[in-house]
Amino acid sequence: MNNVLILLIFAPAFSLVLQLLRFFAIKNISAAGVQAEKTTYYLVMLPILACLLGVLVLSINVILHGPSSHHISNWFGSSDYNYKIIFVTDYLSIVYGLLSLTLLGTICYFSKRYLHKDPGFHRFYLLFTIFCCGLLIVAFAGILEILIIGWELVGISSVLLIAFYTTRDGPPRNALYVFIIYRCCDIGLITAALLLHYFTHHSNFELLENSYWYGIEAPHDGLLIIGLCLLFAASGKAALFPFSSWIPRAMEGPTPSSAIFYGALSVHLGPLLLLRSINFFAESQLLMTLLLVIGVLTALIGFLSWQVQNDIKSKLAYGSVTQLGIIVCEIALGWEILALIHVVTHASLRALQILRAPSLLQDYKLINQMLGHSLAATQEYDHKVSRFRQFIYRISLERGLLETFWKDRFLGTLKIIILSFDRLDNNIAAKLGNAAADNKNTVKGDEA
Amino acid sequence: MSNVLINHSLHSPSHDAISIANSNNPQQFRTWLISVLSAAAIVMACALISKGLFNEHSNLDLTPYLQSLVVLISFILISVFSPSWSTTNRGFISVLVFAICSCLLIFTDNALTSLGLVFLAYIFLVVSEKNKPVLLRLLIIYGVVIFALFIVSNLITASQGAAFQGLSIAAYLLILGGFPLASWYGKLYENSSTGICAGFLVVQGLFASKSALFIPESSSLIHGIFLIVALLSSLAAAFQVNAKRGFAAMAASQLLFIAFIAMLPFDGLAKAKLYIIAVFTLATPGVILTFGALESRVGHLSLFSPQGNYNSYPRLANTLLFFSLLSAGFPLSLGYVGIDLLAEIVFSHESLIMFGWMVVISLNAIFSIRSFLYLCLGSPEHEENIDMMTSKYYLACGCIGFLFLIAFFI
Repeated sequence: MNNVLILLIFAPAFSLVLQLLRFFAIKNISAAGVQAEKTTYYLVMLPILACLLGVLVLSINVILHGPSSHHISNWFGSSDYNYKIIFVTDYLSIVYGLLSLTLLGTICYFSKRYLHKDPGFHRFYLLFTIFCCGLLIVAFAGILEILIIGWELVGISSVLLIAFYTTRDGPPRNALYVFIIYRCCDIGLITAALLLHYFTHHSNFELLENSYWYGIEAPHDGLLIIGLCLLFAASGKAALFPFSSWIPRAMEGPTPSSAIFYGALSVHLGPLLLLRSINFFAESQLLMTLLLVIGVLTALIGFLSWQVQNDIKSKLAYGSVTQLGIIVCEIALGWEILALIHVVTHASLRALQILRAPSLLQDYKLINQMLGHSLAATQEYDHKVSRFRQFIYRISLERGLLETFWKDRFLGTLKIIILSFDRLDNNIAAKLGNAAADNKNTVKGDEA
Repeated sequence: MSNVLINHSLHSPSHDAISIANSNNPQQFRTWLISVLSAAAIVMACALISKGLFNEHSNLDLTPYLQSLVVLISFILISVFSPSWSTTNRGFISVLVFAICSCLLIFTDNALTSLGLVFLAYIFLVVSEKNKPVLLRLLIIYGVVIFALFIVSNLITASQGAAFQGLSIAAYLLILGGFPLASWYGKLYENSSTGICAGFLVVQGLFASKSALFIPESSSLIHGIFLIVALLSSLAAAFQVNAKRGFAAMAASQLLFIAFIAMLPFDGLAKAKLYIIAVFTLATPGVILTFGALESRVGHLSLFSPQGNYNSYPRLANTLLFFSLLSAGFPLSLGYVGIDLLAEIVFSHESLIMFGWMVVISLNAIFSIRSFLYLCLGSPEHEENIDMMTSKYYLACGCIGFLFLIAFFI
């Protein structure tokens, strides 16, 4: 089984290296024509199919022999620390692996036509492959350090795909916003790994009692702080409260990337982490309550914001946020299997909806032609709205005031403080430089 | 081509007509310098192999040889990248002196020798800026203060340990460009040639790795001071509008990180130190050199709004992205390995301080990605201009590949 696992991780990595070499060898690959597009497509699609076959083999093994952990090798280390490469095959990794590869294959096929003759065709597939590597690493990781590698690969590829369109002002700004939130929340995951080493001297996943999958073993000491760190990391990746504001910004990328990242796969890595760390929430009532509160608030804000969005991608994004909130509530209530089924169904449906979104205008046009008149809104506006409803409406329009809080209040205040230090730094430099210059001018004046 | 040359002369802030006029066939000097550095790198690589790099049972400490090899590769990169307007003899002599000082710094374990080498490098930094009066004065004032602090702290007897450490810490924070104490540092990057900045950065990195010689009795308080200054520097970088000034702040925080690592008394940190210093001496200068190459083409590098140079200079943009990722400790790179090893060991002793450093590293990553996103993406304008030269691009790709690949063979 080790060989199949190695194939799973190395097939996309090998494809990635080949694509990088092509970038290196061909100076202007975007102008290389249809044949180059075909080659790139097959370079990505074939490893995905190979991986899908590999996951099917692994799933048969899991059904026959149950979940198992595989120590592939040691990477690096020092006298009392070794970085182990451990992967696990359990029901959770198999479900996530199958879901990911099926959707990745579908989107890979869809993108071939959607991005045909786009200058960024090859760049898209390169980032898509990095994402694929990251996703498989996260799904099959058997140790928190390995999960972090996949987590960060997914993060960086998502950010670069948000900034995919190089000719507009919006994508880099939005990509930066998403990266800041990702990076801040990643600190939670890294700290959790360090704390686990501190308290238990390892961060390997253990087979959970009364469960079908491996998870992070909850230590007696530091349970609360590690649990909070993991929750913090999951909140950032899954756009849970209070980090939901990044998700509509992430829709700047091309439709296929929106589908895989923010509809289907990337946002569901948060619930995956929560399912892996379910022990923590089972052991601590406080963590469980906090998780439930976060889930309810996320679902509420997602639902309210969804109601007032006027573009299809933002509407779908907030739809995802609502469903993620509900999934988190299910995990908090101990319904892990239901949460897993919810993840699979929601990811599949949302990917389909986002892929269909660009052709929605065409659909409306066809319906209007068939009806002979336009599909106008039939509901009349109610002028007598209560103050409470007005308040709720304002909150919904402001998307729960989360962006205002993070961008204007938190970052804005920090920026004012730091820029005041910067001004001080500049003033000192100007004073020292100019003071000397002034002295020289005075001397020159005296000489004159 | 002529259009590009005009752009060079118009936009380069460090353009120095007098220097170019005075220069005595700089291209020849540049070729000579690259040849010397390459020969030294080859000799170092041969020495490494002969002394048993691949012999697991060898008891020799190969760290200095490996460091020298990385430093020499870094200086080859600097020499190849230095744009035409800085190919003056004076500029290249400075770079050569920086290279020699760096190699000597690796092999010395004496505080006074280290100080002398940095002083020499600082003098050549000042000399290379002799035609920029304001910067020159700033450098002289700060230079006098820094080295006076170091000398006084060394003269004070060992019985007055606290005063000795206090002065050394102040001098260290000033020479490593800690924000907002060292005003010279931001101005140097704003006004100086990127080749000179990159060269001096390597010297600073190696001097930072000698911090234990100057601050022998480090404590949590001293680590905390370094952390707070680094945190401020990283925040300043993250909010900075001027790209080169932002880079100066980020470099300062990375230098303080190296100084912090070198001060740690714990066992098992040798590998982590080596990897982190190697990344710092190769990837971080790569970022500033790419900034310089971009600046010579488009002028002032602003991070206020997206500039959009990806379509005009895709090779430069890709190089900047990869160097930035490496400098920020991207997973699967050598920097990631070093940081992971370090964090595992230090976290068990100084949890809060190490957590603070993880925040600093994340803030630096934010600056790195921001500089790529804002300098390279976001504008519909497409100029038919000259992208990075093939030789430079291949060398940069080689360095990037080296820093990724070596992570799997350590």
